[in-house]
Formats: sequence, structure tokens, C-alpha cells
Amino acid sequence: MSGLLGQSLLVLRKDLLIEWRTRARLNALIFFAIATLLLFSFALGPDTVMMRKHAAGYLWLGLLFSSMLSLGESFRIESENLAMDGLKLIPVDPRAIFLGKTMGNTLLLWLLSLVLLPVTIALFDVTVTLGWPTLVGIFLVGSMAISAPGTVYAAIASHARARDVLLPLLLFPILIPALLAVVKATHLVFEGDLMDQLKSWMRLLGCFAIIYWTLGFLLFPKVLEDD
Amino acid sequence: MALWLLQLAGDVAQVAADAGVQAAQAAADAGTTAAQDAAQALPPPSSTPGQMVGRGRLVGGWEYVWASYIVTWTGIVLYALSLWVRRPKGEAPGTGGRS
Amino acid sequence: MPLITPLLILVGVVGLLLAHAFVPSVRRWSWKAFLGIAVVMFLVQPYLALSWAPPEREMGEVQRIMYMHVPQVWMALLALTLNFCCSVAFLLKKSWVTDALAEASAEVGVYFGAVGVTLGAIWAKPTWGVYWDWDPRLTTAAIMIVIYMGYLTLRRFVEDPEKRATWSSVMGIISYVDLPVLWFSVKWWNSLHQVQSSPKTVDPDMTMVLRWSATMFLCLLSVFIIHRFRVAYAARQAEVAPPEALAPGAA
Repeated sequence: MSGLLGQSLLVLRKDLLIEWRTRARLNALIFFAIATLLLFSFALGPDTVMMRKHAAGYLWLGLLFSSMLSLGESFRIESENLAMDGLKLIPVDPRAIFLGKTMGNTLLLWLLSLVLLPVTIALFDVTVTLGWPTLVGIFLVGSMAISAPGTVYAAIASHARARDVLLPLLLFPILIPALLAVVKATHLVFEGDLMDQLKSWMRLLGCFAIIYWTLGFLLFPKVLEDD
Repeated sequence: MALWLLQLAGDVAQVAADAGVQAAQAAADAGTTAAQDAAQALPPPSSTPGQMVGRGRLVGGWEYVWASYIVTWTGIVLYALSLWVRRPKGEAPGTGGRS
Repeated sequence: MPLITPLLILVGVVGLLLAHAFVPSVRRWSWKAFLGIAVVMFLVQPYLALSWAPPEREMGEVQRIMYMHVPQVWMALLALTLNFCCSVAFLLKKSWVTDALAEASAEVGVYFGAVGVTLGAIWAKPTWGVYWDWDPRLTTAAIMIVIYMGYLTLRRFVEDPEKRATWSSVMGIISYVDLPVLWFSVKWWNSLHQVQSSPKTVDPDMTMVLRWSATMFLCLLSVFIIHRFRVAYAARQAEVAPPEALAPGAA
């Protein structure tokens, strides 16, 4: 299989295969995210009305924290046994590495969000007012928006000192627009969209995702260069 | 890059129209909101509300103006000092490239 | 004083900046010229801003904070734009000059942004009654500072100068592109529950004082960036120099 897309899919397949053989990352992420959601409900008290109102925010904060772990992990596996150098020597186009890794991270985050959804519904007593397909779509676009800058920064941070501190430090402020948009959109799906705002928030989120997929695609070869 | 920014700007303008927030934003730019802001900041109307509302202006507040000057001047002095402390040693000044 | 004065000074300052950029011999003394202009303008500015300019109709004397607050935020944006240009330039053609300039402009931009946000909070207290009101401008500026503090942190955490330059250029581009998205997202997020704004007054006297202050801060910005650039450039030279040429304590 050749071509950029073919190479990207090969990178994706390799990552998914590694993931499938151990299933360690997804398991750890699910437990971490559920623990985060539980901690939110403990820290904020048993006020059910308030918790229902803010459930979208808790869900996405939990996903954001988990994504830090999964993004860091997705490049840690490459730093073992100089796997990244091997990948570049095959040679795989660095842009294909970006696309494959980002698709992998998106997929993982999306799966995680789908697993967390029933937990959120149970813990915070929310109802899906606007229908499931909308919600699943929002989760997919949200995961894409987080993954693209996340993959670029994870690649940078994985080679720097104190990478565990660095990644959230660099990534959180950049992700604020995406977080705002995706939390608002999810909130509207839970609570009902009376003023027809969902479309505008989804467009903002979509713009964010498109911008960062493009930027990552263009800049990622520079990140991996002479490494 | 510029292309994406342009596209973003176009999209954003479109979305702003869709979202129905343009009315709020127009109000933000109009002077009426400023009057509301100033009125909010005033102390709650006493028994003679007409007096405060009629003037509609913040009185005094020089201490905030002075505070802004003090912050600016202190910042400049401290930052200049930090640049002086970090100055390159043992090298003639002005040997750098363009800046 | 004629209202056109600050614009004329501004033209001169911009001319000097261009000369600084393209004529090497100018670089020896230009910072002294910027400093001189800045000092003179700083001495006159309090008179113009605090006494000469009329108080604003709604906000009274408090509005005078604008002459310090707004230009410094502009300078922050200007410095970060320079950082973006240097980041792009470095990725196109590697050079320690653009790398050092990117470092200098990011730090000076964060400095001016931090002072600008502080003054914004001081201004917010008498006009809105609180120091912080999630105003889109204030919020965007605050997040912008956090983003660029992350940028400066990344620069400190990478030892290899070449990787540091490349990665921070990538981050500089990503951060700068984030700013307009951030601005719109915060604006919508905010506009759904409240609307705040600072009124724009088009009194020519006020515009004149604002331009005066902006030119004054532009001179200061130039002085700061030139000197921060020298610090960064000397550090880069020491890093990439062969070991025996390392001056003690230069890094």
C-alpha cells in the first residue's frame, strides 16, 4: 500500500494493533476517566440540579484529562527501541505519521467518550434531548479537535525534559476554544436547543478542527526533522 | 496560513449572523451599553435616584488612574532591570543582527 | 499642541525602525534614539493624559486609564505578531537571528500583555464594580498570556538549540493562529449571558493622546526588544560556539 493515505492507514493500523494486543491504554483511560467523573461529583456535592446543568462540562474535562494520558502514551511507545527512527527510515512520510497518529488518538478518544456517556447519564442524571446521532457526531468532531493539536504537541513534548508537565501546560490553553464549543454543544444536546445555537457552536468546533488538522499536517514534518 | 485565517473569518462572520447574537454585539458597540455599565457601577440609588442618574458619570476614581500609572512605571523599571541583569557580558553591544 | 504631532513622531519612529532592520550601522545607536524619544514622550504624557485631555462623559476621570491600558495591549499584539513572523521565517530558513528575535518578542509581548491585563482589571473595578468580569477582551488577553508563557516554558525545557528553535517556531505559529479563534469563542460564550464593552469616543483630543501614548510605548517596545534580542542572541552564540570558545557564564 502506498500513497499518503495508504501510509497513514498503515500507521493507524500499527497503532491500533499495538493497542489491541495489550488493551492496556484503553482500560487505564476508561478507569481514569470514570474516576475523574466520580471525583467531580464528590467535589461538587450532591446538588443534582446543579450537577445536571454542568454535566457536559464535567464530561469534557474528564475526557480532556484522559486525553493528556493517551496523547503522551501514543508517542511514548514510539520512543521505545527507537521505533520512531525506524518508522522514518522505512521511509514513512512524516505527514502520514501525523495523520495516522491523529486518527488513532481521535478514535481512542471517541471510544472513550462513548463509554463515558452512559456513566455521565447515570451519575449526573442527564437526558439526551436532541437525539443520539447528534451527540455521537459532536463527540467525534470534539475528539478530532482535541487530537490534532494534541498530536503535534505530544510529539514535541515527548522529546523535551519534564514531558508530563509540559504537554498539558502547552495544550490546555490552546484547546480552550474547542473546549468552550464542545461543552456548549453537548450541553445543548442534554438540555435542549431552544435558541438554535447548536449550529454555530458546531461550526466553531469544525473550524477549529479543520485549522489544526491542516496546521498539523503542514508543520509536523518540521517537528520530526533531524530528530 | 492566510488562506485559512481568511476562511475562518468568513465562516465566523456567517456564523455570527446565524447565531442571532448580532443584535447583542451591535448593542455592545452602541453607546447605550456604556451608559448601562456606568450606571451599574454607581452605588445603588438612594432616596433621590434622579440625582445620580441625571449626571450619569463616574465621579472621582483618580486612585485607579494613579494605580495604573504606578503599575506601568514599576513594570518598566523592573523589566529594564531584568534586561540589564541579563545583559551579554564580554561582548561589544550592537553586534547583533537585525531586530 | 497640534493634533497631528503624535502621528508625525510615529512616522519618524517607524522610519527609524525600518532603518534599524535594514541598515546595519544604524543598529549601534538606534536604541538610544528610541530611548530618548520614549523618555521625552513619557515626561509629557502625564500632562496630556491626566490634565489636557477632557474627562469622558460616562466614566469621568477613570477613562484616563485607557491611555496606558490600550497602547500596552497593542504593543503586546504587535510583539506577538513579530513572534509569528519570526516563527514562519525560521521554518522557511534557519537562522539564529530570527530565533533570538522570536524569543525576545515573545517575552516582551508577554510582559506588555501582563501589564495590559492588570490595567484592564484596575479599569474594570470602578466601571463594572469588579476586577474580573469575563469580558471577551480581558479573557482573551489573559489566555493569550498563558499560551505564550507556555511557549517560553517550552524554550526553557529543550536544551538542543536547533530543536528548541524548530519546535518553538511550530508552537509560535499554532499559538498565533489560535488567537482569533479564541477571541470569537470567548466573545460568543460571553455574549450569551451578558454584554460588556468599553465605549469608543471619537473626541480628537482623546485620539491624539492615545496616539501619543501608543508612539511612546512603541519606542519602549523597540528598546526592550532590541535589548532582549541581544541577550538571546548572545546566549545562542554561546550555545552553538565550540566548547573552547565558551565564555564563562555566558550561557
